Amino acid sequence: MMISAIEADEAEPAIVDEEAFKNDLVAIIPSLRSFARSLCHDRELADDMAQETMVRAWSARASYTAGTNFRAWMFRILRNNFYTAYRKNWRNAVWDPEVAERVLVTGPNQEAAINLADVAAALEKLPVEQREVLMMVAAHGMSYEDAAETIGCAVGTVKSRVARGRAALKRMTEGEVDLLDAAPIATIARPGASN
Amino acid sequence: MDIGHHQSALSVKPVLGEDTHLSKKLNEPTGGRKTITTPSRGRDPIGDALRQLHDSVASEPIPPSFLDLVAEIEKKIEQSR
Repeated sequence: MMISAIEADEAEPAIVDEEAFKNDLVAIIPSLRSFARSLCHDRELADDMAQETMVRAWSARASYTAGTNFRAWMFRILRNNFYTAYRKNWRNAVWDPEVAERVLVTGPNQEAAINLADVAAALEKLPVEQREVLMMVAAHGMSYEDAAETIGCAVGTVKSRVARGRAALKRMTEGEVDLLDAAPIATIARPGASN
Repeated sequence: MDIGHHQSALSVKPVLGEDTHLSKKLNEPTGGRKTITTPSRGRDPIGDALRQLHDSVASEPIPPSFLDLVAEIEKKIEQSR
């Protein structure tokens, strides 16, 4: 699907350094996959979205200004894809046991691993508006300004969402709010998924 | 399709959090002077956990489907030369 999209792409005016653009695309794959996973939780769907983002970015390469924030530009395309799909097809999130298992073995010790799994589970319960900025700022190290530019809102809004997201995560991971009682988030299902 | 070639091209992983143009502003040429605000660092268990979650995904091997996509892009670049 993705490849055919690339093949269908009509050549655009060669006003960009395509080799450099491709290298930037390759370099950002890990972060793109990570951000996509934090938005949709479903591994396959997240990878599909990340690839679709790469295809769209390639098709729109002429509109990218070299020397500007490539990561913010890519994240903006990705979240646009996500929200488009999100509006079309949403469902209640389910906890991915594979993710839980993976994060459980990544911690340096058992206590840290349990905390990490708790944070991962709590993260899924956050509203997506808080989750995305929290991941951009806290996990990907973006500035508030870049995050605001990426999602198209005021810096103050980003700061507020990050603060609220952090506070909610803290409450959930400290047991003030039972994760099972927290409102499930809405996320999207990949085509053909059973629920 | 020569996937092996592309795997070698992808074998140098970017350092996490150091994507290209990381320090540059969106749609702002290099050298622009805008205030950049980052969260204060310090003891931050939530932030640490979120970074570990990010790292756990970002350090995964890149799936073959991504390599195929990159190969197609490289083919397009070749064709346009």
